[in-house]
Amino acid sequence: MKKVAALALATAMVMSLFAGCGSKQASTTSGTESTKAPDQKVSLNFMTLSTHADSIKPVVDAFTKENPNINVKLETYPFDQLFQVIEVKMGSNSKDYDLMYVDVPKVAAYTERNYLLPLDNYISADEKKQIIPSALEAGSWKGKFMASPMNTSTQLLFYNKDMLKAAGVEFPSEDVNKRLTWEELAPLAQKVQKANDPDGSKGIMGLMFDQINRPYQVDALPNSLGGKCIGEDGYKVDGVINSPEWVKAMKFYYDVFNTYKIGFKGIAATDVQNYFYSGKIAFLVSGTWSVTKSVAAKLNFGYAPHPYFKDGKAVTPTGSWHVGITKNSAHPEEAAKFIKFMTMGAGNDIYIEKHGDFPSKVAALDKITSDAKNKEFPNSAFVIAAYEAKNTAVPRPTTVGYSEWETVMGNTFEDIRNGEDPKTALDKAVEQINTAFAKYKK
Amino acid sequence: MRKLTPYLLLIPSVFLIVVFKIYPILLTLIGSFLVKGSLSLANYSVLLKDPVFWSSFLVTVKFSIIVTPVQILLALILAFLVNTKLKGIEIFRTIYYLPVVVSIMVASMLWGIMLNPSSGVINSFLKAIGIPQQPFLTSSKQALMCIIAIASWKGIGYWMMFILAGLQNINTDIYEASYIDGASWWDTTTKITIPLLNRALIFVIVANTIINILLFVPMFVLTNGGPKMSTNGLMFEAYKSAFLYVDMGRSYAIVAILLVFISIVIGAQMKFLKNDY
Repeated sequence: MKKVAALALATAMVMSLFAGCGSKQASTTSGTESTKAPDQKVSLNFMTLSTHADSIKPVVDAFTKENPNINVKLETYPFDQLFQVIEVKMGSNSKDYDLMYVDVPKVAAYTERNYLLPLDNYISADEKKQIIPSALEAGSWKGKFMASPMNTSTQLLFYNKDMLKAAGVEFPSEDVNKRLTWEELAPLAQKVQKANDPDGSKGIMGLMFDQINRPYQVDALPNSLGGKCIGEDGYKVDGVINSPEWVKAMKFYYDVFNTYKIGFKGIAATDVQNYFYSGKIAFLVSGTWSVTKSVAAKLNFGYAPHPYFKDGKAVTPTGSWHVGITKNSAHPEEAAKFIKFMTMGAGNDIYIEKHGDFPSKVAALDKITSDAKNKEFPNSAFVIAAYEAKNTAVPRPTTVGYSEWETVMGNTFEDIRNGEDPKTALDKAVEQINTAFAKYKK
Repeated sequence: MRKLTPYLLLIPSVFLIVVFKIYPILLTLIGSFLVKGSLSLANYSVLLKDPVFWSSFLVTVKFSIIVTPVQILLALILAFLVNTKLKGIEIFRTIYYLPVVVSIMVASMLWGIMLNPSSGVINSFLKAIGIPQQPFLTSSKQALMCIIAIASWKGIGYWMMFILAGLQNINTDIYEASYIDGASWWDTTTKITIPLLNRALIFVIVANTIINILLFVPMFVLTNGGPKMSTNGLMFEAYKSAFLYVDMGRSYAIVAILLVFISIVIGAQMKFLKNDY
């Protein structure tokens, strides 16, 4: 009896394993069948950023209202994980997604790796004219439009008015022609820090970069001195990222954290903003999103144009999130419809309004400069931003190996922040990037 | 029928082992020899000439050489301490075991907050007692040691439990006999307790070595392999190759080398510990 029972149990266990596989297979098959039927509801899976979910949901709701047959499902990931999920999913030929977020410098790499479907078949040349040329170009690779911009971005110098007042430091001007140099800003930040936290017990710092260690933000330093991020061929880094301009710019970055000691060490990019909103940072270089968030945090704050180096020119970071159709999407038509709504149509206005982002639509940009209410605080920040986007924005480097470049540079910036000699760190970065790029030359 | 039953009972676990262990291992080994679809040793030849690989290898070796003895010694001491018949000793056992039930992700983040050089509680404490503030995870000299400390805080309780179980398995008659024979505490420990703990110790040493060589989360959450690659072990380098550099071949080759390395270390340990079963 025992034997029989044991045998039955074992068989049942084994069968249940296979049964599990079988039923799953059955459901997937029926899934594909149903999607082929034309009159049925189409479901689009959208791989996106978790921090944007709250601003994208209203867009999806508005879209579904207009297109009751198309259902958009969001699958959200934190910033760092999103890129890995994209590599894993798209690299293994997954059919799970129709739409995906594309960080703009990765357009080239994703296109070369065949992750994206060109949008040219779905979006006409006339429709493309609604987007500012720089963002359109950034979303294209080798003449094909691969990912449409949701927004673009630019950076300003934010400051805590209460802290500056306490230190008797004059508020920096909003005038783009009177912007501060880094050389002027550093001693001011030191002074404010000293006045507000003389013995260092309150954990207050003078100057921070919102996207700390991310090339998006840090590139503007060497760029201001004329340093390039990558060679003309898209691969060369020796003599480029360890050039005298880079070494000088990185020396400043080093000084902020190690010589002047006005910046936090050991805090990640995801956390920096909150230190500013809670009154722990005097000056913060950050995106327009900090306007909305500082207002929400009831912070007494002000803003000025992005600083530059005395011997260089004004340069600001730019570029942001684009949306593309995955190569395996079963519903490219519907996906393109959503992309149009979200990046060019009414959906874009909803997103921009809700997220406090900076638009990449021509009409929206014109409206910023002409709108009377934008003459006043806090909306005048967007007027400065519009000027920067048009005049001083420098995009991140265009290379198939951007992912590798960004990883190595991010670690290098972190090492410099932690006190590594800038020249040594940059030389090591060259070595590592060359190793990582070796596969493209195989 | 009688002969068949044990095999049938084994099928589910063998099935799972094949799917989740054997198959990925084979996939890794095959993948490491593939370059653009054809068989090649290129992944290995590039890797062996790569200074980044060798520095990661050294980090892994350095980490393992320190962390494994430290953890086992401390686990052994703790196990001896909590192996006393004292009122309420269970409370202490629970306290020492508590870190084990905290997820390693959460533990790393908590320690990251506490070890923050500018706003962390540990530096505030050091300052209060007059010791200069330390850079901890932001210094290439201290980061690896910090990770060793975090991994040990998290792991020791776990290994303590195995050793404790081994200790409680030892027949008290033997201790009584040695006591009557006039053996000292030292003699009892080295000649009776440790030899009889052999089985438990072999398991703890081998499992601990493997877990520590493959440790990944603290590097992922706290240091990203930095500062100056000082915590960039092979596991993290393999992860970077696969998901950030999108070079699967390189990642497969690193994991394959790691596999061979672990086998050699474990083989040596088994031989050295005179495993008799």
